[in-house]
Amino acid sequence: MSWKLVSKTYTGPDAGGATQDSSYDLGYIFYEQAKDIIFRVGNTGSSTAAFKVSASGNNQALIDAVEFSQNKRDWDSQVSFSGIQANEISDTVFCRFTVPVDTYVTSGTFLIRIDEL
Amino acid sequence: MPNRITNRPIMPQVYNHWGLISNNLQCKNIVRQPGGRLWAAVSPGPSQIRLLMSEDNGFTWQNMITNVSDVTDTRLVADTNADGPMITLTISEQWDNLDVFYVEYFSGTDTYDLICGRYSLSDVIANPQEATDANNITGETTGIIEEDIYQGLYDVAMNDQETFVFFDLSNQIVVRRISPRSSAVSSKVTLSTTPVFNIFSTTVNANSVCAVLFSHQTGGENIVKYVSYDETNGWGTPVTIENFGGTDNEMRDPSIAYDGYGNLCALYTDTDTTGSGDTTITYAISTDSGATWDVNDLSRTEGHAAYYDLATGDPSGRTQVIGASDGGFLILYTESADTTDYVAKTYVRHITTDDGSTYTLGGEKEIATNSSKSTDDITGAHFFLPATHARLMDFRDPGLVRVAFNIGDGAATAQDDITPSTFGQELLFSSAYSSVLDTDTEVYTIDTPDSDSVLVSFNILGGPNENVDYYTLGVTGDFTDRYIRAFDHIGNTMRLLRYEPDIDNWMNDRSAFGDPTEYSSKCIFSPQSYGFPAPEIAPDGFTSYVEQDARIIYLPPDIHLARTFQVNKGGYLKRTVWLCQFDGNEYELSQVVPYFIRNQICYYTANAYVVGPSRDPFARDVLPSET
Repeated sequence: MSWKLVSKTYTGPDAGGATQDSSYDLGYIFYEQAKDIIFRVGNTGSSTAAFKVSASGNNQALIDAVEFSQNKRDWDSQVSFSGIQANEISDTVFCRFTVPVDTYVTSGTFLIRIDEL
Repeated sequence: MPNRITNRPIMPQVYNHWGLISNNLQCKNIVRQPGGRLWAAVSPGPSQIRLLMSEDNGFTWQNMITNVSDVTDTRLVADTNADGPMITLTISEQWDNLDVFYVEYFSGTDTYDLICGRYSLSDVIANPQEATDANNITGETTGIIEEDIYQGLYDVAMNDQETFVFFDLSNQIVVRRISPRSSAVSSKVTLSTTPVFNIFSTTVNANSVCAVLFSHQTGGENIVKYVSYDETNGWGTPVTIENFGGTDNEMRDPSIAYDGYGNLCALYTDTDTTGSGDTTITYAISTDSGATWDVNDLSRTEGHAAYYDLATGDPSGRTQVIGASDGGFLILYTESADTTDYVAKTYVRHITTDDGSTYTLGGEKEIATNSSKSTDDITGAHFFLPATHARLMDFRDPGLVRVAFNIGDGAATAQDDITPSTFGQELLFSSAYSSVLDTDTEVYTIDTPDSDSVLVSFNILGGPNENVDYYTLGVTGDFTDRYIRAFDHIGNTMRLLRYEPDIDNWMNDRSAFGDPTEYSSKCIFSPQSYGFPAPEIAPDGFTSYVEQDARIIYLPPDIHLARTFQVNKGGYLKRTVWLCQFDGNEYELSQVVPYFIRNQICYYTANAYVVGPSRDPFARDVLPSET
């Protein structure tokens, strides 16, 4: 693994010393309510890299409810960026999750997947 | 989901464990009319038939007819091929008929007569009556169908056109038809196959083609067979479904049904009558009008064992099948859920099809889990059949199918148990099919992150069935704190009392609850919510005033009016009672609603009703949807 999800609160320039987000808890959300996760991708490898960010997991209904954007205007099921140099941090990635209406479930999970291209 | 318990028993306390579910036979005594009216014909004792009806989806049951015979037994005696009362109920709305079939046993001659009491459906509903003699029922016009039938064995299949009554005469199956218009009974038509061993099951489709499942003992072998009957062609040629290859095994609890594709499902308990006494639940499906059958044995769930009828020691599967208008079947059966205490439990399975050619067996689902304790025996169940058997139900949501079941087991063969049973009932939504999800698990499958992913988790607020203490759960924040401070500043101290119902209690009053737990909190009464008595306007004008003495009470976010629902032993649906004492008045708090700001619990509202002679919170009927 040559990447880390960098916390939005980290203000430093380098990926190596950045605060890492190891998981996210969205807390309590109403049906059809959207909640955003904000992070950046830090390149912890030794060479320039490209990354793809998408959602995965066991529950297709939840994966379908996740969108990504780099500008909060254009949303897609994935975002990609390239040319991230070693120890550099990408621009901000916005992950938006809208809770699907399924009145029989009370909790769930999905995965933010990072692929190095 | 606290309010899954939605139904009252048909009868909460009966000293006859064979009064609803008999041993080794399929009486069709539990039915529903197309409009939703529910009927049950049960036997509280050996010489009594009771007809009960519910017009509110099983919430309350009304006794319609009690039929007591003073000279005969309306039952099959133990140690024959079947045991218990054998009551069948059919309803024809078109012809305003309500038919009750039963057998009368004459101990002196050890013979059975098959009886049909025909009532006017509208008269029964309008004038529920008490009859004292089974042979002298008001409105009865049909009477005896056949005298001296073999061991009292019969079955009834009914469509809108006529009723087919099958019975056993000298080990042969005989059919007679009853007209819904004139009550005329046709002459007998006998199936030549003999001996028909044990019992049989029948059904009929809308085209008046009957399907009969029976056991034929010939050449030293017990053979499960199917045969058709219709008025034009008479009896068809029997077809073998399964040959047990000897007499060590036999079919018990047979049941057969059509589905919307016109296909047939035969369900029965393959019973080893030798040493082991084991049972195998078997279903067979025919997609070619009974010419060929695909036979399947159910795999028993790990840890389950055969169920043995306590009174006779007979192994019994209590199998029953019902067909769906959209194709497919629901089956039910009884097994022991463990091999330590051998607690009997009853299960359903959904056999689905998309095309009427391929059928898929669904998972095993336990019924009555919210109407009984885990240590209670559920010794069998019956589906609420369509009142006209050929009118099939839609099973796209199997949770809407209703079942009646017996809670408890008895050792008496004379239908006078020492310990009581409960004739319970519920929608399958209440336990077996509480939801219809693609995953069929009720929760999203939890993900596990690996080296290329990060886990995101969430919880959902505001589910329709939640009974959640949001403050304890941590759904709090700055807004929560502000509301708590506000209640501290402007609220009045009130005394709150919480009473929990006792599931082992028989009563419907204060004694059905334990001692209260006391709380106090700063709450606020809304002054605007009192309404002056409103005039109740009947069709012929004003009749009376209706009290509107309900107020809204505001509760701080750290006071949660938790509540539980349960049906107690007396069959009464009881809910946690919250009382509030303030300024000389006592109020019942009900219908709690949480309010959030930015996903933080801020306050609750509840309706407050003055407690008095017209509103006793411990005895009043509670709506299953009431929070």
